[in-house]
Formats: sequence, structure tokens, C-alpha cells
Amino acid sequence: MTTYLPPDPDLDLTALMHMRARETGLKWHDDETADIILNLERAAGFHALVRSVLRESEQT
Amino acid sequence: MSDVAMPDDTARATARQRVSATLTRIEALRPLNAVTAILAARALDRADRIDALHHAGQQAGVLAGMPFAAKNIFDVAGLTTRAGSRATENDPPATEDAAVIRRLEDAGAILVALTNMDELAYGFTGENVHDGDTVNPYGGGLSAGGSSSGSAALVAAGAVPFALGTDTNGSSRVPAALSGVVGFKPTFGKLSRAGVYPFVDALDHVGILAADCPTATTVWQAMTGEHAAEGHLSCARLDGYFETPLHPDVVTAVTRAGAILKAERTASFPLAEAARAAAFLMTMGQSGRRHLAGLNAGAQNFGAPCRNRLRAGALLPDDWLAAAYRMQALARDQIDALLSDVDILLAPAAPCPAFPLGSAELTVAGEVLPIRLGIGKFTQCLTLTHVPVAVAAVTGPETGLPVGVQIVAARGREDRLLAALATLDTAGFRITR
Repeated sequence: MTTYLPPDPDLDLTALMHMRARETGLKWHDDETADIILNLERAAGFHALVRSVLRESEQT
Repeated sequence: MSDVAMPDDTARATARQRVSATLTRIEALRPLNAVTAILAARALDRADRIDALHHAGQQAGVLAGMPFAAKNIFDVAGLTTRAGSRATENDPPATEDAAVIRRLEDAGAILVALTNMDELAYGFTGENVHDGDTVNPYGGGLSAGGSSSGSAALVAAGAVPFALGTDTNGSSRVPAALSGVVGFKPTFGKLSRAGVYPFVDALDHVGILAADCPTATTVWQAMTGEHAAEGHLSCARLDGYFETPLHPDVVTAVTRAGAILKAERTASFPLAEAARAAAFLMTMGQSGRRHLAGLNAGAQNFGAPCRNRLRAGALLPDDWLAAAYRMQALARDQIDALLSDVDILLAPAAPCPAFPLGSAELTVAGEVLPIRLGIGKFTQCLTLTHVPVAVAAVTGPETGLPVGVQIVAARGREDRLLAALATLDTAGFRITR
């Protein structure tokens, strides 16, 4: 089921995760990083869809 | 399906007799794991007060003596509100009941139990690592749907005529469909959330799960004073996004409901998929931010399925959430335009009937459906727009399991939902218990 676009290929989710961790102070164990990235990847796909539709909407 | 039945002579039974019978039924239904707290002393005390009013010839309310349950996300005075999590266990006890519980008890209803749920309402399956999974009364280790899993299962099993749930992305509507009860998600803000443990401020609703249409109508009338709309309602079926993937039993149900409600045309909600995506982002981002401090202080108190969703949510950039809010405004405009042209829209509630607990994915109409991402796809997009939605359930001819149809009306027009539910019920579109 394709219900969302893949994340922006230029988006480095690992870099985003670490940047936001510094900003928010969120901590976790290293062995949970992969699962957090998986969840971020899903969110990035949904964000790509929302952004794409918003752009289309703003152009019309 | 459970063979536990309601009392034969409910109307003449005293409130104490009704509550006692309900408590016995709840005990008998322990294998469903639908209940996390039984409030026997409180319920029997309340029943005695209602019986005393009756004996004195005084009115005790339109719901007098009617037992009900509530998801353990609602405050009950003297108890810590658990919201299905260990992360809440050190919170102080609530000092008063949630506003909706007070309203129901003012009308004579009696709270008898608190029910199981997905942790922090973050899920559609009724699986909970702390309290155990809720089991669908239709058996076979099936999911009751979630997150208001225990409320739906308890109503479906005939233990209580109705129960309170919440609905942020479909958490009352999905379990209503999978467990075979009537689900009711009113307009955003119409029922008070005072005393409800928050999940996503922008999307949280109080929901009602009822055994049948007359009960749902009576409870809604007791809470709001509103009645069903009169006269003909125009109806259309939502197409496109809402047509795939669908189990054949769901196709049959939507088609049949459309025929009964004379849905002679289809209607399009082109932003549905983007609306669903925006709801996903708002849910993840808001709930993650809410629990950030708790995650750092005691991550072990959050179950594994929930913990890293919340962490990822806390990490979402603010501009992703801002985009989701912009999408919400667009989606609301689009659904408002649709509902200015037709009174009622129909859509499937879930893509399929109940699935085995523990499933990560299942195949529906040849398409692999990830449970977590897929089961709420038809409810989540509508939540974002804050419109009221009811679910009517019917038995699927192929599986013998319940499936549900969403009935959608314009904001503030719950009267149209009640009218459509009544039309379906009169035509036999209901679960026979």
C-alpha cells in the first residue's frame, strides 16, 4: 500500500535525529536508534506528501 | 460471540439488581481482558441512591439505573487515571470524575467499570504490554480494535449497554466496527474533555460505544438534549481513497448501507490521503512533545511499541507540524464544501474485519496492509476535519465477523447521524445479538 511519498532523498534522517535530540534534550539507548529512525522515516514520508499537496495548492 | 445476555426484565429490575447482574457478567467475561478496574462499591452505592429516589416517587433521570463502563483514560475521583500506561502510575488520584461521567450519572447512569485500551490511546489494536491484550468477543484471539478496545468488547459481549471511549484518529470508530457495536464520535469540542487524559489536543474527542441504535440515541439525548433530524436526508458515498483496499465484507456493507440511505451518487474528498498524513504527523508530534520529560525520566515505564513512536514524535521538526496544521485548514474547507451539498456521506470504517492479535500486516483484496498504518486510514482523515461521525456495524456475509460503515455529517449536525442510524436500524442494518 503506497499511502505516502518516500522521504525527500536529500533528507538525512540520522542528522535530523541528532540535531533535534540536541535541541530537545531527548535521550535514548543506542540499541533503540534504528526503531526511532524507522518511525521518523514514516513521518518523513507523510510530511513529504503533505508538503507536496500544500505546494500544489499554493500554486493553484 | 458471548452468550451472556441482558436481564430478561430490565425495565422492572431495581438499579441494585441491574448493577449486581452487570458485575456478575463482567466477572464471567474476564477472559476478554476488557476491564482494568471494577467499581463495585461505588456502583452499588449509586444504585441504592437511585432506588431510594424511585421509592420516594422522584425522578432519577432518563438513564436511571443504566450501567456503563468507561475507558481508563477518564478521571474517576479517588483513582489515578492510568490511560493504559505505567508512565502514569505515580500520578495523584483524580479529585473528581470526568465531566462526561458526571453528566451521565446526573442522568441516572451508573459507572461500573474502567476498561482496557492501547497505551496512551496510541494504537488501533487493543494490545497493551502492561495490562494484556483485549480479546474480541467474536473470539479466536481476534483484536477488538483500539484504542477503546475494552469499551467496545464489553458492549459487544452484552455486559453493558454502552461505554465511553475516546477518538483521536478513529479510536472509537475502529473498535466499533471490529467488535460490532454502534460508534459515535461527535463534533470536536461538543462533549467536554475535562478530566480526560490528553493524547493530541488538536484531535481528541470523547466517543460513545453503544449496543444498538436506540441506546446510542438515548445516551446522546441524555447528554445533549438533541434529537434525530426529521425529513429526507440526501446521501452520497465517498469514492477514490475510500474504495481501496476493502475486504469483500466491507464492500457489501457499504453498498447495502448506501442502498438503504439512497446514496444515488458518489462524492470525492481529494485531500483525504493528505489529511490522513497530517493527522499522523500531528498525533506523533503532539504526543511526543507531551511525553518528552517522562521519556527521559523513565523510558522503561512506556511499553516498547509506544516508546519509540513518542520519541520520534518529540524529534519531529516544528515546521512539519506547521505544515500539518495548514493541511488541516484545507481539508476542513474541502469537507465543509462537500457537506454543504449533501447531508450525509458514507465511507468504510476499517478496511477489513477483525484480525488476529499480534498481526503486523494482513492482505486485504490482494494488497498488503500494515496494521498500524493501515487500519485507521478511513477514520484518521476524517478526524482531522472535526466532523461528527457515527459507525453502524453489520455482520459480514463471508467471514461472519462485524464490519462497519462510517456516517459523516457537517459539524454540529449529530441529529443527521441519529436519523441515518435509525434508518439503517429500521432496515435491519445491525448486529443481531
